[in-house]
This record gives sequence, C-alpha cells and structure tokens, in this order.
Amino acid sequence: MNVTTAHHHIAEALAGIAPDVDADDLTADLHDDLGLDSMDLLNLAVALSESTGVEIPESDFAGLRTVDALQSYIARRATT
Amino acid sequence: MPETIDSTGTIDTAELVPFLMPSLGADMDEGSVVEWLVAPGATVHHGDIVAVVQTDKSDLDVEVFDDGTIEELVVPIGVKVPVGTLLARIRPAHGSQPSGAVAPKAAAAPVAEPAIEPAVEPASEPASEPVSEPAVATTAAPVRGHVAPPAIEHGDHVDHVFSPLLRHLAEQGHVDLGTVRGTGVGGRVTREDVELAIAARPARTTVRRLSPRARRLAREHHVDVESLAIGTVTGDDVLRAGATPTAAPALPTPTSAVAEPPKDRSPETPSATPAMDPMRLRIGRLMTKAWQEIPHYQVSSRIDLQAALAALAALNASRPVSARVLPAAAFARAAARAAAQVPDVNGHWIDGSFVPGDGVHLAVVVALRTGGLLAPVIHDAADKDLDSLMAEMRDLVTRARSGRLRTSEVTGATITITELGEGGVESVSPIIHPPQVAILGLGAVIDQPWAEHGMLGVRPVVHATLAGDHRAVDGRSGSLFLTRFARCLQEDLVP
Repeated sequence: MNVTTAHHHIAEALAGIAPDVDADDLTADLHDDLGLDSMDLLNLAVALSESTGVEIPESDFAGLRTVDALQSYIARRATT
Repeated sequence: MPETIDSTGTIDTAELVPFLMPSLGADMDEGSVVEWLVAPGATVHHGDIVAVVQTDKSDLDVEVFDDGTIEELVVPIGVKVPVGTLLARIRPAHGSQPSGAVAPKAAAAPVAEPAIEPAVEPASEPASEPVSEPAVATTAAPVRGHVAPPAIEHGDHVDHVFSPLLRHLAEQGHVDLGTVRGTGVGGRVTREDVELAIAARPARTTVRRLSPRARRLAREHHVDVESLAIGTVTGDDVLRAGATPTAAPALPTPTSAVAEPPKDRSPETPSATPAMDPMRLRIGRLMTKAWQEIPHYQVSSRIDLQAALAALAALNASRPVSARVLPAAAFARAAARAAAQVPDVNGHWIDGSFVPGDGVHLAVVVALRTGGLLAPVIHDAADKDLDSLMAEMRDLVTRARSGRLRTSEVTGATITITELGEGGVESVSPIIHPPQVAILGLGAVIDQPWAEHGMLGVRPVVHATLAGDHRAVDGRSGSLFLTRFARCLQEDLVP
C-alpha cells in the first residue's frame, strides 16, 4: 500500500472519531496537539485494522504519534 | 401535506398510554423532537428507541417504556415543547399493563428517574435547597396525563413522519426527505418517491454532515446551517459563516463523507458577541450548587500500578486490537467493585438523608471535543467483567462524542469517576455531582519514585482522590473506598 492510500484510510478513520481534526496536518501529535485520548486512539487503531488489515501492536502504537508516522507504518505493513 | 398529527377525535384516548417529553435533569425545561423513528401503526416494545430529542446538552435517543402500537404522533419534528408534553400516544399491547395505568409514582418512574439523577453531567441540578429535591422530581416529571397540550409552532418539515427505510434511502441518496413530493395515500412520501428524487437529484445536494462542534457553534453564533456549504460542515465553516454572514460558500461536489471542505488552520475568528453555550451554563449552575451546598471532603492516595499495568499489557499482547482493554476500563471496574464493598459512598443525598444505590451505576465523565462534558452511565458496573465493561465504555464514550446516547444511558448514576490523566495532570480534586455523594478523580499514570521494603524504585503511579459529601459519608468510608479500589485493581488483573 502506498502512503497516499494509507493517508486516505487514516483521514477516513479520523473523520469518524474526531471530525474537527485535520488529517493533513501530518506532524501534529495525535494526543498532545490534536487532543485524541486513549479511547479515540484505540478507536483509530481498530478502524485502521478494519480498513487496512494492519493490526498495530500496542507496543508499536505508543510510538506512532503523528499522522505521518502512522501512514508510513501502515504503508509498510499493509499487504495490499 | 396531510397529516398524521392532527387528532381526529375518533381515537379512544382513554385506553392510550401517553408518551411524554422526558426530563433528563431537573434543569431541563424543554426539548424538541428532531426525528421520529416510528410512524403511526408501528409496533413498539419496552426499551425501543422511538424518537431523537434535542436538548441544550445534546441529542438523545428516547426510549418507550410500554409495549404497544403507536397510535398517534402528537408533536411534530422541530417543535420545542416543555418537559412533560404529550409527544405521542401508544395503544398498549393486548394484555400488557401500561405503565401509565399503574400507581402514579411508578408510572412516572421512567421519566422521573433522571430528575434525581445528575449523572447527566450538566443536565441535572439539585433543587435550590436539598429539602426541596423531591419536589424537583414531581415538577420535572409530571404525572402522565396531566399535561397541558403543547403550544405548537409549525416550522418547516413539521408534517413529515418517515419510516426508517425511507430515511435510510434518503440518506444514502443524499436527498432531503422534506423536499420530496409525496404521491402516496394522503400525499405520503413513498419509497418510489424517494428513489425518483434520488434519480433527479441535482449536482448540488443539500446533505450536510455537521460535527457536534459545528452544531454547537451554529447555535451559539446563530448561523443558519442551511446557508453553509454542503458536505461535511466543520466548526471552522460555521465560524467563518458567523463572521461573514453573507458568505454562503458552495462547494463543488462533496458527496463523499470523507471529502472535507478545505480548512485553514488559522486561528478561529471569534464572533463579536458569542452567546453563552447552554452546556457551559448548565455545568456552571450544577457545579456552583454542588460547591455551595455540599460540604466536600477529599481523601487521596497514590497507587502503584506496576503489576496491574504489566498484567494488562500481557493480556492485550495476545489480543486483536479490537479486543484490547484500556486502563480506563480497569479503573472503572475497580471503582465499581469498591463502591459495592463500601456502600456508604454509593447512592444519593435526597431530602436530607442518604439513600443507598440499588446497585452500582457508574457514571464516567467524558470530555467532549467540542467542549463540555457528558457522563454516560454504566449500569450495574460492579457485576460486569473487564471485557464487558471495556466494550460498554468504548461504546458509550464513542457515542457520547460522535453519536447519540439513549436516555437510560445518561440517567441513574450512583457514583462518578473522572479521569483527567489524559491531559497529563497528576491529580484531580473533583466536585460531586448532586445528588450523588461521592466522585473518584484519577490523575495521569506517571512514573514516580516509589519506596517499598526499604528500597527505592520507579513505578507507574496513579493519584486517586475521592471527594465525599460529608453530610452523607465520612472520611473513613472514603479512605476505605480508596483502599478497596487499589486492592480491586490488583485482584482484577494480577493472577
């Protein structure tokens, strides 16, 4: 999966979880800057696992703090 | 257009059960039905959601408490009516005991409950004096049948009652049902009408998806959302429209829910005279009363979470992401179990005395992204296992933020938990939500120096604070609660 497609999935997931968040802000910290809490982040991880098939282990997820990091991770891991 | 709402006088109303505008708190005076999910003739059962009601606080799914058939929808969509107003009449199912037919006290129970249930964060407010609290229940929830007919102001779209199928079709096809011409019996809109309307849909639709923040801002700034761009409307769009009333941007073709209007991330332009957010007002009133009337005491302790968090991490490592358990669920379960073990902290202060809860109904404070709070309730939380609690919390929190809660989900709390650790604060000194008598506040889980067995180490630690209503419960019980809370956290997770 390329980064653009991964980004699309992230933007779609974010629209359902935090509609006011701008998914194009690639470097903002999802938690500190964009205000997603642990429940939001879990919902994001679940939505992404459903849409991309990429299950992000909890240990990895803690390090994926930005849309940029998340889309690179997903693009790398997705099999399609 | 013809009607389902006018009363023909041929209905034998004596047998019918009234369905009233519920009170979701002592300070909720009115609400409006924004959507009917049933049409006359529909069969309903206890617990079915039949309407969406808009309050100052949020939109709520309203349930019925009777089995039967919808005889008549009395209040049209969009009309603001006082609490207790007759919304619809239900013909009871044969042989069923209508709730309206039982003793007045019980009959009013479903609607009265919220009045003494300030779990609904801002919505519930105690009477000005504790002694008068029972009066609140009666005024907020009039006995069925004794209601004045609503003063109906006919607005747009008041005449439409659409089936879920039609609404679904219309939503999928991006057509506004209110604009569809009905060719059915009495001018009713049929499925075919909707399909035709979808086929004939012009490039520009009137579909808008409003974020909760956008909806709130539109209300505050008196921005007519109809004037806004179609597609997804964000708070920024509303603010822009509020700042420049003439701007009615027409976007290209945002038929996809994903397609967001372009946003600039420049600082929002506040309107000249922003109106006070109703939710802010409610929180202010409730908390002021709580602070003035409740003699709060607070006890707190730091709890070492090393073992519990390690156990949770191990549990999650073997699970798919959708089955993961967050520490928040473990905290909720431990709080609920501790409340069950220390019943002094679980209940209500009503009319000058403590009324123990009939189970542990745990309100979980949810901060909304749009500002403000909601406190959905996990009923019988002490009886639920960790996975059930996690699933329920996730559902409630998600819907509190982006969807809708049911009336039963915002009422009935006997104790509240608030976690501000997400924001990074170390400890919280929470304010009790009357008429509850206790609230547990948790700060962030922070690595801290920890002395044990004469050794100093670093442990993940949470600072837990219990605020208690000193009229109802003493510090000893509060202290015992915290001890039990810490123990339950361990017991639940650590083998």
